[in-house]
Amino acid sequence: MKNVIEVHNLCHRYNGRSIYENLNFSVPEGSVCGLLGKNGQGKTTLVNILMGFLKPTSGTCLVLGENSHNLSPAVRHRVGLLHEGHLAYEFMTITQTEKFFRGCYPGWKSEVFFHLMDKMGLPHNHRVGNMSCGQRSQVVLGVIMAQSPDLLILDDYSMGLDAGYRRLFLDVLHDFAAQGNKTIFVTSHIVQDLEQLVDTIIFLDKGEIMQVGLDQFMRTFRKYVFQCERDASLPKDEVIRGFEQRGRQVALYSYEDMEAVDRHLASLGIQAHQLCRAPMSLEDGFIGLMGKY
Amino acid sequence: MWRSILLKEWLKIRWFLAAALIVNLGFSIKIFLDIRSILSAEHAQMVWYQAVHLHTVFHHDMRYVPLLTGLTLAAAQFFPEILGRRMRIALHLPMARDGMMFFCLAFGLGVVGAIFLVDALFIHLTMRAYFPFEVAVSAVMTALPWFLAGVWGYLGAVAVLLETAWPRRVFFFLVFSVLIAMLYSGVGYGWLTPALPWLGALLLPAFLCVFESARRFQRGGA
Amino acid sequence: MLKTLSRLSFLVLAILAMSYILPLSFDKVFGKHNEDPLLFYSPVLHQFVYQESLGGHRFNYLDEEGRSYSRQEFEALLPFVYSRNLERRDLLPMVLEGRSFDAQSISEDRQGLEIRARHVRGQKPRIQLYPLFNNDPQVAMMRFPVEVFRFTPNAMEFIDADHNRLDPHLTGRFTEALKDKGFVFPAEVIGGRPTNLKPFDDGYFIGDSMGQVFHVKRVLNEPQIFRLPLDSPLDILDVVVTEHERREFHGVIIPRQGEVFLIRWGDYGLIPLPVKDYDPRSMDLKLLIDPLYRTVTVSSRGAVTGVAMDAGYQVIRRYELPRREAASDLVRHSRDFLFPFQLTLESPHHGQAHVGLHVGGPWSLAGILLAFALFFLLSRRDPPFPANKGDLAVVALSGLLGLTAVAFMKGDFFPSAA
Repeated sequence: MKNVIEVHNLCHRYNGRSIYENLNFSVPEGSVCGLLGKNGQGKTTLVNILMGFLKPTSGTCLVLGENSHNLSPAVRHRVGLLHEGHLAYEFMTITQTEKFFRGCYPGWKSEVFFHLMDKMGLPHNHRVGNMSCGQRSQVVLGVIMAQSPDLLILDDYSMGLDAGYRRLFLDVLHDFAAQGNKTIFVTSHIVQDLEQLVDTIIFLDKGEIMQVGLDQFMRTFRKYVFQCERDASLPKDEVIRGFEQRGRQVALYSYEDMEAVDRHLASLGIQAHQLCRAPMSLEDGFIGLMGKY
Repeated sequence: MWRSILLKEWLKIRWFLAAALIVNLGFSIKIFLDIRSILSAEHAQMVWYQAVHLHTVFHHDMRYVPLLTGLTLAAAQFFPEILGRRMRIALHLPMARDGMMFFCLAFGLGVVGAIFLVDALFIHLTMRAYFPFEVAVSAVMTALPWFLAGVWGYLGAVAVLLETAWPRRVFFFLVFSVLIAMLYSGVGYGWLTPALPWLGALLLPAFLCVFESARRFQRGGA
Repeated sequence: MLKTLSRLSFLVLAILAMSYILPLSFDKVFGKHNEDPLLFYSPVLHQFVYQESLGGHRFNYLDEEGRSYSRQEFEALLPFVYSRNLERRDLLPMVLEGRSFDAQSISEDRQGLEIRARHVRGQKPRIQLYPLFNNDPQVAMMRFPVEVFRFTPNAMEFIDADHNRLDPHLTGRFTEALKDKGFVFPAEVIGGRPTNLKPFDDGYFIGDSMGQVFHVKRVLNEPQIFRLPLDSPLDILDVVVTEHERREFHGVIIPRQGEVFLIRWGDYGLIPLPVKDYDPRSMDLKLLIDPLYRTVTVSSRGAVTGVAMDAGYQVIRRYELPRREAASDLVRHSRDFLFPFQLTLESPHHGQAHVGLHVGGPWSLAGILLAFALFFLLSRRDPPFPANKGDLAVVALSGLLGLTAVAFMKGDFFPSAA
């Protein structure tokens, strides 16, 4: 299977400060990949590099085989971008937006665009600038879908959207991914949503990358809960990858099985009452792995 | 594809274009009325004497209007593009960046040029109605640097708007300000006429340098 | 290709803008006034004396030998120039060469005339439309005519200002009259004073396409035309009409090649002025006439030259005063060091824009060397300021100006806001 995105030895510095050194990962065709990282870890920078709006200090970043900061029009034609904040031409109406993009994309699917627009029930002469954030996001989504790209890069699509619009997004993206051979690279600050969408996760933390399949991660990374009598300050180590404490209830995250965790806690002198494995959401896993700060 | 760009540029500037036309026509009419009232108050030969030998420039009030027009249209065209770095949308369209920039600039310059052509025509007709043709021709020649300042202002404003780094933005601003100020030097009619070929030739580098600004905009970070 | 061109374009613009504005600002701060010394022939000393500006309304008063005078002594050496002051100091009448002069007789026989390069034809914009005053002995006041005239390839046209249209009658009369006198259209040069602020009207002196000169006046609305008796056709740059009460001459003919002629009143004979290497396009000429002498001074780039003549325009003394640099060496060298060249729009010899590029002296090379050194120093900086051949060439040609421009264009020198 070929890779739609390939990143080799990517380094980026800003104002002399290193943001990452030697980043390597790839996104195979047909996968839905979510980029997760806390604020300030260079998520937006990475997306900007992928989108071609930032030239990395060194290393290569190939999108559909071409350098991302120098994509040919033909490759750009195959890539759909959703910019942070659902960037759109606010001075255009729905009709004008459609007319504008139809002229730019030979394979443009008007019916896809209008199908999404008509769901909102807005007149077609409604200006984008007068829309709510949610409505605007639908216009942008309509534009991208009508382009029928092979690769979608979405920068925090959920920003400013309420649950309804987020679900709408997920629905549309799900259908898009189901067409086959379509690749999606997505970031979102609502981690929970991604669980319903992605098949691969890339964790970005302190300039390091960890790429893992969603299923594998959800299967191997585990959440345990137990009761603790006093304040349990746990060290982070090979077994304990993260923990949270609320009152006497402690949640602990680990790749190890329950027996190993129990043994490890005992060796630390901690009495874990009612230790058991608990269901873990992706958001739990994210916090467990990356911490809160 | 170019028609789409044309549509976008048109949607951005149409109201500003209308306002610019109103202001330009307003000034043209003001100049006409001014001259008419001067001629009704004074002997025509004395007014001619002022125009020819005392170097009175009767359309002097108009001189900053083209500059203002160029700046306004550049802002109308490019301010929405730099707000939230919205030009990223256009830069991702499946067309060459330089070609697209060329088209946007050509559109803007075409509009600015058309307004100035109307101005020049009005000046010429007004002057021709009351003065010998030598004076009318000289009046247009005197206004040429003002129009040139309008074009310079347009290109300078685009370059300054597209720049992403503030020190460079300020430097661009200063450079274009000096070049534009040169176009307002001298007194009387036709003072700059001998320098016009040179100042006009500098339009080419001014036009070209915007492309680097656009390239830096694209690569200039989030 | 476009990337390089585009980048170079801005460098060129930036360097041009800086080479225009920075030297101008430098001069504004460090002052570079170069006022011409005033050169006179003293009828008392029988040699030249001059007044030299030191800036700030301070002057030196000197003679040919470098003797210094006080202001009052200087005035006393030039009774014809400062007659009013001398009269107030009761030094008049004064006896010179056996003749006694009082203020009245001096002022009646004095005349000054200045021809500045910046006012000569071709050096300033001129719309060629002129009023031709009507000479009517019955009317004392000089009324502005309602018509202006222009020369076309085959006519002298009059345009009526009230109606902004051709006056066929006057046009026909004057065109025919000119042709009758042998005028060959079109006109090459038109000299006259289009103002009524003058003691009398002396019409226009008009050079035709064959190098002949005609005196054209309008008397009682009829043409009065006289062809000057020239020995040979003249290639004339400009004609200046004086209209002075002394009526010694009508005006001055300035040919293109280093000569100047006065047009004698009465017989229209030409009186050559003894100037050598006079270039009317780059030098200013002054003619000063007093009861005893005529002095012509020519200010050129390097010197002010004076020639004193007797009343018959025979040379009696010549003197050349080399021009001194107004600015100190330090200021001049610093200027060259900082700015290897200067772009100018204004010129002292032009009444309109004149694009000039003035290259600096040996100190400019030192400035370029410093720019080179800084360039290499900066190229070792972090973040990098990569050296490339193009930028090196720009710095080599424009020194510190180029370095400034290049620094602002460096990709990583000013990182963008992220």
